[in-house]
Amino acid sequence: MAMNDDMDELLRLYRHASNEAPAARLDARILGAADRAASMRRWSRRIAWPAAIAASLLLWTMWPAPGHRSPLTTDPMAAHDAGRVRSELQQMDVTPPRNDVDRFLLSTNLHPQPETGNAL
Amino acid sequence: MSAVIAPPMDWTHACAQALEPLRRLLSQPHLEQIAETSALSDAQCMERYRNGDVHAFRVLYARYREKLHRYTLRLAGKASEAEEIFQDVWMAVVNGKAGYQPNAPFAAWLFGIAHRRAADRWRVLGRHAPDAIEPHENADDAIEHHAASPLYAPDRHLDNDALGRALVEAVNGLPLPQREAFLMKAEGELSLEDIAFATGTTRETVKSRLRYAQQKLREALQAWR
Repeated sequence: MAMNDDMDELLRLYRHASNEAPAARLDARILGAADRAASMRRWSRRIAWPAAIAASLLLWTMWPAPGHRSPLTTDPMAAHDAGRVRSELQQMDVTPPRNDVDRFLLSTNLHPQPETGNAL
Repeated sequence: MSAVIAPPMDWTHACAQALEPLRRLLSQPHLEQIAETSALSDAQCMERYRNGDVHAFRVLYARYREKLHRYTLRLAGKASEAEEIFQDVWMAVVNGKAGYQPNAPFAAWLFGIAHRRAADRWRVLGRHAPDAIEPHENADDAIEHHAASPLYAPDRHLDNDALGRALVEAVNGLPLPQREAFLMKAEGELSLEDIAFATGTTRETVKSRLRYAQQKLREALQAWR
């Protein structure tokens, strides 16, 4: 307790005797730097939303519309094959068979399922 | 007969009311804001400054400028060197405000920066820290002289400026770790834990340093008692 009281007395005496202050030019320099840093921070906060909106608008205007997009065919050979198949299909005779035999053959399954023997 | 063209009173009154906030803002800049900020804690001020409120920094600066200046002055010994460290510390606060964590007291963080800046400076300069600053005059002679004088009777010594000066000289004569611990307690009003945080050591070490500092200061002022 006496040690603490002694220290408290020393601290009180020291604080009473110690009264130096920094020079005014130091204050001005430090406060000026702090002001500049704070104003830059405020400026960046104010500009953030308008900049984001402007960037979004720019992207939206620059992005190609869906109707103007090029076809997704990237492989020329695939396009060629697709055209050939389409022309073959268009040339096929799709008229129904005229006689009964042809109709029977077309409606009959030529590859029946094999008997498994599991039927009850 | 002369016709006087005057706007209706309601219109002028409405304009005056609308412009009143602007007029107050221009005539008394941010006084209310400063008053409001002054009531905030250190951590709240730091948080506000991080968000761009410059008044919050001014409040913090006003609270700690003299304390930190005296700390650097007693640590460095030379006024020019102390000013450079002082400025470095505040610039570190300005530039490193994002790094402040409110879980530590601002004062401990601030004095911790000062501790490291001073150590870095002495490391760069390639010399040791001033272990004990030479007094401006022969302190022992001064103490003997003042002690013998009836002006410095024991019942008056606490309010005596000369005793205070002798104490400051005795603080300057302490070894650096003890001086630093004493100054952080005296100027920063830091607890043992905060001093340990700022100096990167343990609470027990700080306690020991303060005990030695107290003992040496008491011995230095023995002639006054």
